[in-house]
Amino acid sequence: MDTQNIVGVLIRHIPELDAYMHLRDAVGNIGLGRIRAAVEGALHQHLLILRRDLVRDAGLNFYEVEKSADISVKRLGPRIILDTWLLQYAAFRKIAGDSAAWDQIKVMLKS
Amino acid sequence: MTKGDHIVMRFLEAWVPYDAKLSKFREVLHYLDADRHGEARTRVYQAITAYLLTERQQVLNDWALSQGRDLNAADVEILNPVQQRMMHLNAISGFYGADRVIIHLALHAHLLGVTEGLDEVNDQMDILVAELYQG
Repeated sequence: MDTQNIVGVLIRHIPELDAYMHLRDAVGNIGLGRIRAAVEGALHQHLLILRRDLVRDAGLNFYEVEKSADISVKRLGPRIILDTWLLQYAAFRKIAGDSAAWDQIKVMLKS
Repeated sequence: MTKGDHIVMRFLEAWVPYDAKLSKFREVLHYLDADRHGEARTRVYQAITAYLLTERQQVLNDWALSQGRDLNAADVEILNPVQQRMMHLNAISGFYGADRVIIHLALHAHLLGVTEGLDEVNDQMDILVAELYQG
């Protein structure tokens, strides 16, 4: 499954991802998936902060980076929304100067 | 972290032996700084509230089923007498974030008869009520 593989790569950079994914798996489809959606929303907000950190530390413009990251993510084809958020983070890392995670995920998704 | 955030964390810690899912919420909250991750924290609180509502409904429905009928308002009153008061508080106060989670944790604890950490939650509830009536 893509999500697990992507998380597997990113966990070295985002240790808290493990806790989010355990929680997401634990709540499953309780309440027709409403709780899982809220957990994923929290993770999205968390990733947004991490992306802002990357841009700030690299001295780049957030919106410029976001535009480039979106293009890179779209080139990988349609994904579920959680995967897209995770891929955006990897793309931000690449643009900020660390392409290791992005390259690894790209090879994995294309194989 | 606000006082409410601390209480939620301690209450969730007390629930570890009773509910594995609540302990996983605590693990995520552990990473969230109140200033830096305010939005993420709000979403996690929403998820906890939705989870507790769903679980509580299930407990009440199971009880009604064991009586051979559907759940009605009187059952809720009998099984969980604090529910009506807290629902009223919840509706009129507009409590936000940690306060709302505290209300639902208290309801859940009362219903399931779990007492660990409840004194502190009840104290906080009293403070919230006092603030509400002052306002």
